Amino acid sequence: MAATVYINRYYGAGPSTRDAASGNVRFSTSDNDYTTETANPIPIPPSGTNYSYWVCTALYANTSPTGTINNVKWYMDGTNGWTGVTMEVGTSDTYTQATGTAGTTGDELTNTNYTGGTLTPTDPSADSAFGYTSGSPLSVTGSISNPDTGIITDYVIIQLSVGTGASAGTLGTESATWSYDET
Amino acid sequence: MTSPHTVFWEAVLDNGRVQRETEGVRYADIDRMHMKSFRLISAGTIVAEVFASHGRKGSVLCYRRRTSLTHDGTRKIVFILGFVPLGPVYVVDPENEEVLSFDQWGQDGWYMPEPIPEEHEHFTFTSKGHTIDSIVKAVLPH
Repeated sequence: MAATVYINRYYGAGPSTRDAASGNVRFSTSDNDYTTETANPIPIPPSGTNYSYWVCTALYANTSPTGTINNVKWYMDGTNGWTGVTMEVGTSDTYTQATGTAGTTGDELTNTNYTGGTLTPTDPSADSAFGYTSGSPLSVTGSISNPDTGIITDYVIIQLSVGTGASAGTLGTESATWSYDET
Repeated sequence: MTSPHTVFWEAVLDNGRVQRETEGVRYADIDRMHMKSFRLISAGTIVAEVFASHGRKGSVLCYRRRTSLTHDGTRKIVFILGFVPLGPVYVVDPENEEVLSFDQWGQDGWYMPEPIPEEHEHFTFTSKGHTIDSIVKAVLPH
């Protein structure tokens, strides 16, 4: 039988987890697991860039595959529908709780700030997330085989960068996709 | 339309025996030396079937259930089956009643499976290659 697999969001010091497909991941300037809440929005800066707190996600097997799950990919639809807002992505085999100044800005997603482990790439480039598409996806390290359950992959860490050209208000939804092979 | 959740594989051996996923056989334990064909079944109907070509180098059975899971909760499942590295390899999409074949990985966003230990021959699928002695039969319900 096929495994039961979820996209988990990881947050807090624990970390705590939630099935990210059970509700949106809403970016904010806090490490709270917001799905619809509008508290701690990301202020549009008068100059420079403000950041959301970064968001850690990973693929998780609640039940074991009959054989193996491998070949995990992550991608967006290739089109950033937001104005003045970009999204960066990196991976790491270690969880690091998001940091920043709540209500103002998150710390930028860099290897220096991601203190708990090594971030790949060490300094994710602006709008790197939308560069990954189904035709050119991000390869995510990790696999799991019977009879194991639990976290399958490295963490995929995403962050919004808000520039001066952004518009105030709630942004539309963008979808990230995880893909994996199973035997 | 066929739900991918009702699709399972069977390996038909040359002695008439059938190894079934639904009977707990693991993909890794398929008797590849004596496999005559490999097929996907849904509700007693053959969804797709590929026939082995024994003795032909470069024809390693390859099967994957590929799931795409989106943050909005959408779950899309297709099945990859065929022989690598020489091919043919097919993508079966039961929900859309489509069977796609392709000449090269990367075409239309389809990327190559990673080998697992049981597929010990190196597979680097770059071309459909010689398909004369392999036949695919796709019988998608309408």
